[in-house]
Amino acid sequence: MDKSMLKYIGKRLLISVVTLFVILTVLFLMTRFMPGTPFNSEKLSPEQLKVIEAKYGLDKPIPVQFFNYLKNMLKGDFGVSYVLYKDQNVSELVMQRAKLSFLYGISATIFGTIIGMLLGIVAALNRNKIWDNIATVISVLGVSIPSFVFALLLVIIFGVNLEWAPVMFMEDSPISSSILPVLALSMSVIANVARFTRTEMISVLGSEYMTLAQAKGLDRRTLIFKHALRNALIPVITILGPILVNLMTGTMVVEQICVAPGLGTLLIQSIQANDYNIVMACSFLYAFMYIIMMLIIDISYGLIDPRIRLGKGDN
Amino acid sequence: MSQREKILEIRDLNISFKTGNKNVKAIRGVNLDLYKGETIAIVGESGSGKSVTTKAIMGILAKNGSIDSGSINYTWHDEKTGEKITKDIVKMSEKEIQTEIRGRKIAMVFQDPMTSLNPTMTIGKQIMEPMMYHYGTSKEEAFKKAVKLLEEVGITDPEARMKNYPHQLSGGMRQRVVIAIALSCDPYVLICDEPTTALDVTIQAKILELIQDIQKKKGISVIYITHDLGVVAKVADFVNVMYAGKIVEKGLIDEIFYDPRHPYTWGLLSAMPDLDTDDDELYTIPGSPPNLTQEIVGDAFAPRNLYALNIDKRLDPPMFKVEGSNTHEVASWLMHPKAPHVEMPESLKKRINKMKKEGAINA
Repeated sequence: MDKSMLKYIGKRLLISVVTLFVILTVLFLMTRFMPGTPFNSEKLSPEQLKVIEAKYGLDKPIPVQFFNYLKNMLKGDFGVSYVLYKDQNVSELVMQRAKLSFLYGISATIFGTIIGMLLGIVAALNRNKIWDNIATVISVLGVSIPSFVFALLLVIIFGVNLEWAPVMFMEDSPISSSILPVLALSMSVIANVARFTRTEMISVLGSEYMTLAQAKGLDRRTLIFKHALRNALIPVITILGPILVNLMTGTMVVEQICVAPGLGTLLIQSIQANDYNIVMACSFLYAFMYIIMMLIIDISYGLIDPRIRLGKGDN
Repeated sequence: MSQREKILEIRDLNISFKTGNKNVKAIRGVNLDLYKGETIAIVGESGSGKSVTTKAIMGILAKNGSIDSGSINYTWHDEKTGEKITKDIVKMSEKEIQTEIRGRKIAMVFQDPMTSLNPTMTIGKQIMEPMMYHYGTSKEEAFKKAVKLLEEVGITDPEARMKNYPHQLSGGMRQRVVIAIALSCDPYVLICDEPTTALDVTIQAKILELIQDIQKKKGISVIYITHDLGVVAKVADFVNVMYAGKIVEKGLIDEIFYDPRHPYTWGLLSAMPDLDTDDDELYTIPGSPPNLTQEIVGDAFAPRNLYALNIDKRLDPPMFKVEGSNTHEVASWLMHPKAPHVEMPESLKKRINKMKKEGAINA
């Protein structure tokens, strides 16, 4: 990597830190201004409430709370759960849940991208033939049907009726109980990647440089694998960003349907319970992952495509 | 030209394209000859079938195109035995054309160097690829040869350039790279499809000179496809004027430029921009080329031809030999002995006389 690349990455990292700070501030204010408090049991007397609030530092003015939160956060301490998991360390709690969501997201992305690319390439190479039509139908379905509908369908068909896979998450068989949610999540990835790959591949196949490569006397396999694929697949990386983000929101609902103890389930529960620290930590993690993904995608795009890698002023 | 050795012989080539439910007859009975070391030009307006003809020679017609009849005989000497071999490209399988002909014996230079190089492959790799593929040249040897080729096409510091990507080169340099790729397998025939159209005027002349130099050095034959008569005048030995998928006039460069006989050629020559014409407006040939999805009755040029005869509407004219020449041929009923005598327009005559005086032609 040359200097300009490092400078670029440094700049992006700085912007990322600023963005995260802004997100954190907005999140903090939003949670504090949400109606209700974490402690709304009717059994608590006003005095008891005061004691509890003082214990968690919630009696202090909001700017002070925010400052304290930031200070602790920089030390890696995201506070404790108020209600859901009484006094448990939030960062441990969230990390443990995030593992599963992360696993779902990554598997769905990898599986969906590979299948989608294959489908798109096959469709482009057999344009207007049966394979192309099949790919188009799959793409349209995958794009237009939300992942939770797929999750429901899969659970009903393969979980309830056929009993091929568990309908909910089971600690003792994590892999088999992950199949359905991952499949459901990957449908939209397959659809988007296939559609995009097909379009890119067709435009590459029709390009002048492919004609030149053909005029060199190369066989079809060399033409496709050495000349077309790289050019067609580079742009696919650009849509992986939005797809991943989509998946992050998708996991929340799919986790609910497949009863999987992931980050999404935790976030929804914590919002309902006003468990500030968990809401903050989950949302922050989502934001953080989003920014990191975008960064990785931008950098990898630069590494693969020489036109971007070398940038301007290079001669 | 005493010992002319024929390399390419196209006879009665007919090509059509299927679009929707229509059949477009893009090439209608083309005959063409190419001799070793010579340069021919195929001239005509857009859609006249010049590119299609050469794509047929390379066997890279679009999927919906098919050769209905005719032959493309290609003659070469076997690399080892020196034995003369003639093969009809039309009858060869795709695999045979791909391994034997394309890139190896006939290479092509494309119109737009900005889009004809693979953007994600270094130019070195792109030049080395054909020789490694066809001849199994080792990487080291291919690298050496590629550097030499780059040097030959006039690229400075070739070794450093090998690692460059196309976007790091200017248009003129990219076209030089395209030429280097075409030359990488030592072809016998180089097809240049409008090689200078997309380039800067100042670069155009340099690229043409480069192609001419290489041709002289390597003794290869060149086919130029162009609509630019200026280019033709500079480089060609022999000219084929194409109209609506047919060759309407062919002859030596002098014959076409100084003694044109077909009204279409008159039109083309009159339409050349010129600094000192008396008219304010640039001459254009009236009308537009015919719709080739329909069967053409008679001479395809007749509706645009001011000098059309009645017979033009019924019968397609055959090739008439021009008296006193065995190279000049014209497909126009005006050449029939019984046809009325028609002179070319006065303004064109003046222009030709001027060209003659200035010696506008390369020869």
